[in-house]
Amino acid sequence: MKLTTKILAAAGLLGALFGCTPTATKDAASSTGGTEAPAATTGKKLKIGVSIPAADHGWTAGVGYWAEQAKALYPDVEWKITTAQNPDKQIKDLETMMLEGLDGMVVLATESAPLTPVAKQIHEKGIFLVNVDRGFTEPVADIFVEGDNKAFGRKSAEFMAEKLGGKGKIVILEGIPSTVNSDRVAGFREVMKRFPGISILDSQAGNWSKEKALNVTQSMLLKHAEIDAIWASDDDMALGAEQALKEANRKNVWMLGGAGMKDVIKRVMDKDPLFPADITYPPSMIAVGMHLAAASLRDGKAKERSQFMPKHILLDVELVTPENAKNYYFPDSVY
Amino acid sequence: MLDVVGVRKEFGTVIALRGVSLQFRPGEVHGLIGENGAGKSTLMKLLSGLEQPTVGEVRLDGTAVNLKGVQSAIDRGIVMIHQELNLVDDLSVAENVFLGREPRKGLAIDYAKMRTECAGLLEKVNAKFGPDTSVRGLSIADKQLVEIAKAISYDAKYLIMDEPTAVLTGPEVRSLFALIRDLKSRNVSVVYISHLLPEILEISDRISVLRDGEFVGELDPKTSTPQILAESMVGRELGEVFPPLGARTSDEVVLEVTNLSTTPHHQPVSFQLRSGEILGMAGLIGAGRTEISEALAGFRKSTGKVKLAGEAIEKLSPSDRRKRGLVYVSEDRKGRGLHLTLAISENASLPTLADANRFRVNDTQVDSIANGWVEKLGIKTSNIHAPVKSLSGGNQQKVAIAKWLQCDPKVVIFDEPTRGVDVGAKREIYNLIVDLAKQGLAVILVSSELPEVIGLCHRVLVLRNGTCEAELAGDQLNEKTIMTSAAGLEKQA
Amino acid sequence: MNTQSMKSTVERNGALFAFLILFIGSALWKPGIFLQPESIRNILNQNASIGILALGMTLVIVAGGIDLSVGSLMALAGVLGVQWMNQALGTNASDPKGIWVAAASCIAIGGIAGLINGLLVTSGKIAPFIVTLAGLVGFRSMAQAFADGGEVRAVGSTFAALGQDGVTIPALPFWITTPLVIQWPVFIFFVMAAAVGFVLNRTPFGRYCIAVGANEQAAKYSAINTNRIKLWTYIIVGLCAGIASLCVSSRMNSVTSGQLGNNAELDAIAAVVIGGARMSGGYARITGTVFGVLMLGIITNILTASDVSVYWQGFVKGVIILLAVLIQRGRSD
Repeated sequence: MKLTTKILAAAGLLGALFGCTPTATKDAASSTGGTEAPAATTGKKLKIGVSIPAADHGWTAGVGYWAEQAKALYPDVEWKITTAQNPDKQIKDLETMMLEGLDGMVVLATESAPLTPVAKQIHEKGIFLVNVDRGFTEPVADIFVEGDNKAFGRKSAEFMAEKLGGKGKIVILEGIPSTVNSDRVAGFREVMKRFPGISILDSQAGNWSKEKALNVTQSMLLKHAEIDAIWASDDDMALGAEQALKEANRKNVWMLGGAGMKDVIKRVMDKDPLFPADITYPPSMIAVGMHLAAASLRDGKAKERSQFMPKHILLDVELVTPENAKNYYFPDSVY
Repeated sequence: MLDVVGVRKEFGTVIALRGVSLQFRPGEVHGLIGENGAGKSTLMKLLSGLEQPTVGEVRLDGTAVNLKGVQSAIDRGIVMIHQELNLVDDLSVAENVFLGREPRKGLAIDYAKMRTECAGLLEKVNAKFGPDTSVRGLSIADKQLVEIAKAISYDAKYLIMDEPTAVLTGPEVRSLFALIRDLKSRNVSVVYISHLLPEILEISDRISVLRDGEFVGELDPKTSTPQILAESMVGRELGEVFPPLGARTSDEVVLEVTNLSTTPHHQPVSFQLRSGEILGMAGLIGAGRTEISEALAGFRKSTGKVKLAGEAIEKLSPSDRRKRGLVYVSEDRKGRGLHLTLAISENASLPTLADANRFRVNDTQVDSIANGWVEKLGIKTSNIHAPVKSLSGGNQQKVAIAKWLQCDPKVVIFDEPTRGVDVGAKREIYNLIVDLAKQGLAVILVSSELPEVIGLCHRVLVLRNGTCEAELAGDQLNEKTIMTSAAGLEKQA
Repeated sequence: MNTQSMKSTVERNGALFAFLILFIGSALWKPGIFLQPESIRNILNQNASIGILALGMTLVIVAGGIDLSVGSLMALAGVLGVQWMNQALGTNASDPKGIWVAAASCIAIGGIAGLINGLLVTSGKIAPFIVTLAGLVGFRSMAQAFADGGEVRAVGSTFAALGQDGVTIPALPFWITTPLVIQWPVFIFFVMAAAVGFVLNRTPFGRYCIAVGANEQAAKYSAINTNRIKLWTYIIVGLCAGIASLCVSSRMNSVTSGQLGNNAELDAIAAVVIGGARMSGGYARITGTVFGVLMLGIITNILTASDVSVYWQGFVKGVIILLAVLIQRGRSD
């Protein structure tokens, strides 16, 4: 009796491992079969690993979506995509992937500093490394593609200051405490220093979550009778704050979100007074990184290409206004 | 020499000891008796450092000592072995003996030294197991030896033993007594607390009696009898210990057990139980008495057939067997018999709670049930909503019995119903059992106390290795025949 | 005798004492913000779903168990509930039957997941902590898989009526300046609190839960089917998770698979403990849990209203939780 339960449990475990991740079995099979050197010789498929944060909110879900899009564009490459909730898990993922004889890796770090040592190991192993968005603290990546978080904060502040005419009261919704968040907030406050007429009444963490942003905004609305605008710094949080405004029946407050969620872009396009603009921070940057990895490694000529390929690509963040919104509107994206 | 001088102990408004003076001398076994609540445990707590006296003092060899905490008592050679043994099941014997004071080599534990020292101690207590044995696998008697070994390792001059034989079988008691005599010859002073009067008479050099927090006198075991001891404890004359049994009036078979076995290795057991009959189950610890009782009540898997009033019940759940009238009063009162933290009323009504209405508890009824039993069984409490743990052992046992009698049973299995219960309550429980039988209930009485089995039962099954070794009745019912069967000597002879 | 009964009165109402201290403290500290009617409304509206979760958790904990999976289960139930509702509605987005589809789905999924947890604990004989830890990870993953990691929006806005509408309290002179909406989930919470309170205190099942938590062996030997009792506590907390999920997803009119119910299990457990329940089982009060939920809500709100820096708020919250438990302990010992 007990033995059968155990066998059933073991069978279930194997089923769970291999049933849900067909790519894993494929990888295992090919890595045992191919014993030659993993160099990108002709006839051998390129293997590139991609490590991204788990989809804990809209933007990271967008990253996942664009990673799948890019994967579909390069069927000749064998992609292996893993997701991690935190730096710990991501380090483990990378350490495991390093053992699988990959030709290249694309990493969007959950946090910069903790992942740098493992990135260094990858680099020293001679694996082509593309770093996306959150930079390692040492120059170990072959190519670094980043969104400009300081500029994200700066451009947001510049727009808001201009729209307020240099005078008014605002509150800030911050994201999950992290370098991304602090860079944005620092950039924002730096610019705001130039506008003494604008006072920042409050700054609370909404954790890039719609529900948390709703609750926090409700409290801030009570605390401050007069608010002209909210820098929500993220479109998920902006939607939460919008509901708080609605429930509190507060009019004449407008918002600036960020990251370019399709619904918010649409409302900018439709000239919704609540959303006069948006700032992009495209999750599609993962696809840029994957493209660069696949293109560089093609035909095993990465070294030759490295002579002219740029080492650091800074993707500018764009201010989306009703005039240019249609260029940033992707109705099919999840984000 | 350990002297207790004019010790008084108050807990709030409750006075546990009212000025007691006693002397414990080296090389002597000092028996201590008294009903529950007489102040024995409080006195022992004062000696072992768990409590401090309100008035009075403890003197060691003439100088007053302040015993604050168990460690300070142990440092002075006063060690207590509690009724509930304090061993860690998952550690070895040696690890238990040296728990918290392991010999060290640098930072690491010096296992070699620990083993050798422990082996020496085990030899002193005549243990048949080694220092590396896991405590989990030891019998209760062997666990007690570990505790004694531990006490010796503290270099104990005064050894306090609280009910050491409560869970031991006859031969185990014999070897414990041999060990106590050995300790005595090495000038150790043993304080021996027990409810088992014949045993205390046998082992003690003198016996002190406590009643209601006062010292009422000292008795010489050579000139005393259990009857004298019991009377001085309760302070009045007691009649016969066991009430007269009712004649078995009916031949109606209530319970019919055929080929019952709890493990495949054992020979199955078969017997019949008639209404109005008290059937004893004797045997050594581990003979399978509790296993068979639990199997009958449905708490344990078994093979074989069980018929209650002609109806097969072997496939029923404990709850359904209860509803048909078969109940089991567990030997493990604190672990299985009662919810110590819950109220008396809640305990008394727990098995029958959903009988009247599955969806609604009637608190008035719950209270009236509890009040009824408090009155009927003479449970001493001022408040039925007080937690059961506030009661003395005997009164707890009455609650544990009440909750099953409330089910209106046809068959009651009592497993060690008088364990850890004082003399007065013991007699009340005996009377109750006999009364139940006279009312036509069938009773199975599992007990390690042979006088109990002999005095209360119409018929006795002696178990050994999970099977029935002998069925005794009438003249055959004496300690000798039961013990020879229980030990399996009959067949060898 | 007298001290005993007084002690038990205080013990019984420990959570109320702690709640009053916190409430008065908050009112004195930030009267201008905290005593506004909107602030009270916010505390109620924001914490109803955690409250519903905490009610079920009280039963699990009183029976000696724990359920760490309910937060993730909220996400799973929400994702599937809203997806199925969207499918059922098709193009007819304003059909009110959608709410019923979502409600039935959320509650059913909650119940089924609770059943699975319960069976693994009872028949599977795996420790509740382990079973529900697996659920914590597993249900979240399922939610994200079904939602492709992203957000599931309800089509149309009829679904939002459940979580966003409610009873409107009209403006009153001097205090309530604008009409306030107390949302339906708040009422669901209080009705359920009354119901679970009845179950715990007035039914054999509730008493059995206490008996199992106080001493499982003794309960088993009292001929109680302890496995069935434990199984039901997990089913009930699962149902509560389903209802809580329904309330939140309706309030947001969408479900974010990665975030809905994140850490909700911890908040629920905290509320139960602040409410005076014994973590090892055998003692709990529903009124305590209700006050525990409200206390957690007050703490979060007063901290946002205060000038405590964002990064220090969690620390202050932790300290207040410990104090709330200590206040009760100090008074009852």
